[in-house]
Amino acid sequence: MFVQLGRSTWGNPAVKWISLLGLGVFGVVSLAVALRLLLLAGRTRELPEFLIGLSFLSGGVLARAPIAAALSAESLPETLRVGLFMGGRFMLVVCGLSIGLMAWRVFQREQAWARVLLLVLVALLAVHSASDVFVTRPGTPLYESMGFWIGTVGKTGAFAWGSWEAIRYYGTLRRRISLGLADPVVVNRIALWGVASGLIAFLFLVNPLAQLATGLNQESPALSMMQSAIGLAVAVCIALAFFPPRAYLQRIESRAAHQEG
Amino acid sequence: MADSAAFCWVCEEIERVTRLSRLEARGTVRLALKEAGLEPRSVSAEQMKTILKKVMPAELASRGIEEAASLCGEIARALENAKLGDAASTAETPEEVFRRLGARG
Repeated sequence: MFVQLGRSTWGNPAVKWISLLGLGVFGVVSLAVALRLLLLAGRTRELPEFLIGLSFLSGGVLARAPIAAALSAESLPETLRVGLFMGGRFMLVVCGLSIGLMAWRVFQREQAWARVLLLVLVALLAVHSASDVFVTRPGTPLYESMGFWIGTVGKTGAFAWGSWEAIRYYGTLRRRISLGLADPVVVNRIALWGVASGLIAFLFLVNPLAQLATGLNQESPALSMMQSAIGLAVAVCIALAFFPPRAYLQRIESRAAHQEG
Repeated sequence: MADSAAFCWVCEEIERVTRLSRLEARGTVRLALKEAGLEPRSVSAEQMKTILKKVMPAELASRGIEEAASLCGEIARALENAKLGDAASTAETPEEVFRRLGARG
């Protein structure tokens, strides 16, 4: 087998279900946002909505569900579990690529350094995928593979870049609000996107580091709970960004009017 | 990338009606735009008018230009009538992308 999945370390079933709750909510919100943005992309034929929709679909649904199944459904045949796990990991690569492309296309399309950074991310993720298929030795923990760390850098880098660009742009737009030159709801959406991307980057980095520190090849209960909490926070951010309740919008607009006044 | 037509036009007007040099006029407008979170390459005529009303008077006054507010008002009015054929960047801004992403229906 490619990777060592082993037995679940969740132990207490309550911990398992609480952990799955956060990821479940994240999955549902991701699916809703993905469908909405992919439908929008179908109408507009524009790349940004397609890339963000694809990132939510691949990262929030098509990656998390098979990985969770592979890690928790111990009754499944080992080959199927490994297949699900590796398939999910490939979807995370698709997600990272989409976010990197989106950061370049939306925020820094005309900058040469951004093109170089995007190419570096693509190369890292390609090496990671090739390593998963051809190099990773059977039965070894993932974090002992160089390809795994290359992939971690690639995925974390893509989300951290997307987050940095959004938060930097938010800082610029916030100054425009006081002059009435920016829509406060759009500015808030960009800020929420930046925070959500930053949290995902953190998750991509902290998960393998914690596994390395604990020596476990999968989520410990504490790590699962943390992932669940971050998953919930990301879900709240993207729900507020793409499906904001009326009261939330009114609050943003009144705060901006006060700032402008 | 080239600066927008609105930016260049306003800089030339400020240079013409004040004793600021070309470099000083452009620098002053650049600072005003930076304070407002805008860029010379992408600022539109509409945005420039707001800058002239709300930001530029203080910037010019701080450089010893008298009656800066009325001067800026006149430039803003003239800008309204100017045929600029605005060469501001036609690339979609992140703000426009995220506005579209939030559109319902």
